[in-house]
Amino acid sequence: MRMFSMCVVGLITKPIVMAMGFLFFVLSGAATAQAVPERIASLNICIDQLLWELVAQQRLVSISYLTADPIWSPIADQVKTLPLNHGLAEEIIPLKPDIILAGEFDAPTAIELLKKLNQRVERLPLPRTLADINSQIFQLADLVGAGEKAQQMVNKINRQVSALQALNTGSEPLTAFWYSANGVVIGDGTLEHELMQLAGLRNLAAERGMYGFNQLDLELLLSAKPQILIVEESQDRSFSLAREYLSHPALASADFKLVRLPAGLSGCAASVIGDVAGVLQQELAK
Amino acid sequence: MNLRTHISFPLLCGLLITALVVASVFALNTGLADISVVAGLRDFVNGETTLAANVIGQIRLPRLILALIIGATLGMSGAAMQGLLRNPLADPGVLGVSSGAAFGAICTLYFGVAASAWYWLPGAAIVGALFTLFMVYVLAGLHGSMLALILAGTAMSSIMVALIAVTLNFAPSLYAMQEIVFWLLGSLANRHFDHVSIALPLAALGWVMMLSRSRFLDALSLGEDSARSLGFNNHRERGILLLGISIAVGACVAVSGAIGFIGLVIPHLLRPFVGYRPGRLMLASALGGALLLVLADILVRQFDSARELKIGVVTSLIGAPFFLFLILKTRSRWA
Repeated sequence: MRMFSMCVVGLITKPIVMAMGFLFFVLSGAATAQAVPERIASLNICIDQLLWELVAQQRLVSISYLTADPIWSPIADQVKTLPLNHGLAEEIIPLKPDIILAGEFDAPTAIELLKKLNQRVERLPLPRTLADINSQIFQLADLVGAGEKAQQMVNKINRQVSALQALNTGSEPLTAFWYSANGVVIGDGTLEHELMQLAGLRNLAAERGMYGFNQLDLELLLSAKPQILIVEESQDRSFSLAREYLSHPALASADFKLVRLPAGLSGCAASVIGDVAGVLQQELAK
Repeated sequence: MNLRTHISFPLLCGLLITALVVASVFALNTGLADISVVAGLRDFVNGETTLAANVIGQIRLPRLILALIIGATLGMSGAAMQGLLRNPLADPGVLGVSSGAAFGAICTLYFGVAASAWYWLPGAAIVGALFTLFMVYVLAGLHGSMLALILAGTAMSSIMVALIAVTLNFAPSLYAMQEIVFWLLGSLANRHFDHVSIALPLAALGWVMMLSRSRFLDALSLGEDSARSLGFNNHRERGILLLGISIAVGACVAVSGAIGFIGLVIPHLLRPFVGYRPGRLMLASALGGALLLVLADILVRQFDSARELKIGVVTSLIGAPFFLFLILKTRSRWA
């Protein structure tokens, strides 16, 4: 009985873990009867990164050229030998893949063409919440037959997210902005907002009634006097005007704690969410 | 001629300066943060780090100073170019000089050179401006035909915009193209004192070079030969003017992007007040240009939109119809 109640308490404090377990249960139950595709082609850098973890590299017949670019991809060095595509149908067809994977918004014309040529194309939706991330991983794993590895991956993410959640002790919450490139703050309905909530931060952008990504005037940002400003490291080392906003001296002389997180949440959320949650937890615990 | 010309030059400058001071006070008071300007200035001078000091000192003051520098530069360069080419349609934006400067700036920004030393960004912009201005001058300036000038300017401008696009294609950043489309419209939003320290010294150097040639421009208004017979070395004087214009415009475009039409509108409005003397027109146009840009910058901050209206869009909306009007007015002189 005691064991049982501990279990229940554990589940209640980790609702996300519970939700994930349920999702996995449902998804694995609904696995299609189709044969597991051997030859996999992908048009999307994020799917590439997940596939790299999930399946043997011999099964990848083509990946996106961006995945081989060190500016964008952390696995660029390892995928050098794989054939690359630039989102063109003619690069994919001769490779005779059993399945072609693409993101929600990738190369629509190429995908239409591929479908006309009787290729099996599967599109994965962009994750917008923590639950989406895990279901995306499971959905992908389901398509390529890699359920076990996916479970490990999801478990790892859930561990890091729960560690972040453990910070939320119910004391007076700190106010914060998640300040992104181009002077954009991140409001309600986003992965970033969800992470802030989990960590027990008050998202001032959401409290202003902002939904999604909105530009906020620098003067208003300073006037709101956030206690914490979360910024992301540059994903690439190349210059970008968008990041000039983060080097404004007014930010340097303002009085808040600056938290720097690894980049990529707005890019390949699934492959970096665990790291981002981990660093956020460490920074806030300081 | 008419009543306007009876205003003396010192009085005109005095009026413009008064208007500039008033507009500047308004500009410092314009912004979304609810703070006291006086307290902010006091705290900023005393080195305190209050919110007011931060907003006034680090956000509004550098923005105002840049508006003054860039407005003055564009006004003065417009007057200098119109005097030099003896053509009322000359302007850094219309003739592609701003695009040339932007091309230079973009080359250094996106390939990591700009970060290595402060002088690369304005240096490259100045070279781009100088090259474009020189080409336009060689292609059309000597004929004195307006059609040839505008066509040469349009051609150079197109070439520069195409070069910008090609360059951005090879830039490591994937978002370079989208970013630069907005940057090219011109903006003063979120600029800071680093930008002032890049633009001010070079712009001031350009101003001195232009103003020092005001007597040559006066003489040139009588014709090439008259200027020569008055003892001017036309080649040398022209070279100094072209260089001065390029330095000032290049330094400004490097920090603000291309802000158009100020150099076209302001000299036109002020010409009757300075007795049609190109030399005097440069100083008056500098004051007028600064005034127009400060006012335009106040205007763009009035709209509460998701994205701030680009100041270059405002000046173009004012300037482009004016440009059309000028073309219609001078149509009889086209050949």
